[in-house]
Amino acid sequence: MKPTEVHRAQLLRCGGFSSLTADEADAFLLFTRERRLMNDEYLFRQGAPGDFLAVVFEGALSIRLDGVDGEFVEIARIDSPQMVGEMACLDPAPRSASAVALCPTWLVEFDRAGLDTLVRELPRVASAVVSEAIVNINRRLGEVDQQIARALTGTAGRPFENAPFPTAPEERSAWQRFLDRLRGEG
Amino acid sequence: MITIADMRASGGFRAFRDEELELLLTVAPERRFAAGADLCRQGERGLSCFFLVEGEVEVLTATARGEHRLARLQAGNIAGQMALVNHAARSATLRALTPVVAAEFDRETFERLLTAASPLAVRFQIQVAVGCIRQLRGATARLGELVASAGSLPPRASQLLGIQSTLHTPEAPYDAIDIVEVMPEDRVLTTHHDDDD
Repeated sequence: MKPTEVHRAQLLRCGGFSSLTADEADAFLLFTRERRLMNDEYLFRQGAPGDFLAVVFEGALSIRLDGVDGEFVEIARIDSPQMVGEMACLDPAPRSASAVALCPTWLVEFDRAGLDTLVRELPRVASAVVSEAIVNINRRLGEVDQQIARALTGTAGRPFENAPFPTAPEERSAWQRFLDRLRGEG
Repeated sequence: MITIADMRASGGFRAFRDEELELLLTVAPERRFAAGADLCRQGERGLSCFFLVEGEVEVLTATARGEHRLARLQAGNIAGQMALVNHAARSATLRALTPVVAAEFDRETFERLLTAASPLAVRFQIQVAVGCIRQLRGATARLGELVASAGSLPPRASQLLGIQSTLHTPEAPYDAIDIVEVMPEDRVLTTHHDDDD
């Protein structure tokens, strides 16, 4: 993608990318592909292979576990500016959830081949990408930690009453499928 | 003196090229530990990581019940690499189970390489990120299994504590979550149930 000043400004708003120079930001953007998603359009689908991450410039994504007949469980929301999908980019595996646009959303995609090239050619830029990914992943580790803490302090019978664990019977089936999906991820 | 051939013979470090290992060996001094010695201790300021070239170490975390083993690491693995990207205190103790030969790579050198835009430093970062990703996937899956069958909380609680302990131990290897020990009371409960039948 040919970067413009607008793209660069959007990228530099996003966490670890803010340490890059304008030239480095442009170098990263050269390896990206721009996408504009319509409302309800999928960035990626649960179970699909994928090795790209995305940086959301504008808009918002819903991270969902898909069920049958359009049923889903939302497990996170991604606002701008934020990175999403970095796990599959750094450690390729089927997507464990779907990402769907909640409104018209503008983003750039960056794949593993681009990362490998940047590691060789522009390590400082690659380092900014990986640093941002580590921050995101560690935040999620903290969230899992909190969920465990809630499970440990919950009362018997309703140990998971706090979101994001659904407790209503009709929600629980979708949650069960989410867990199956995770277990099958390998 | 450790050589590239020694590093390759350990069976690990495949993510690194020969020239990167050569660079590493020029900046990472050889360290030898007797069986039972600590390479680093939980709570200490983490300033380096270890490329295990010979021997075996265990990853230990201190709990209210005493030390709890999270994993065993063979030669060919890197241990304590979170110290390179995280300025927090060590979350686990690394103890030699056998005589150990390791190359110690410190954070100052890592940061110098990063500043000098070395691909080696970025490969380290990626390795740390992949470790965290697999830890997250493993923890979420294990947590999910426990949540899905949340019938008997007391034995589940001990397993949850095991997972939580691993989450707090970034030095644990990728698959440590699968090595968390089954707590004794689980066995006791199972045995008791069988006896009742």
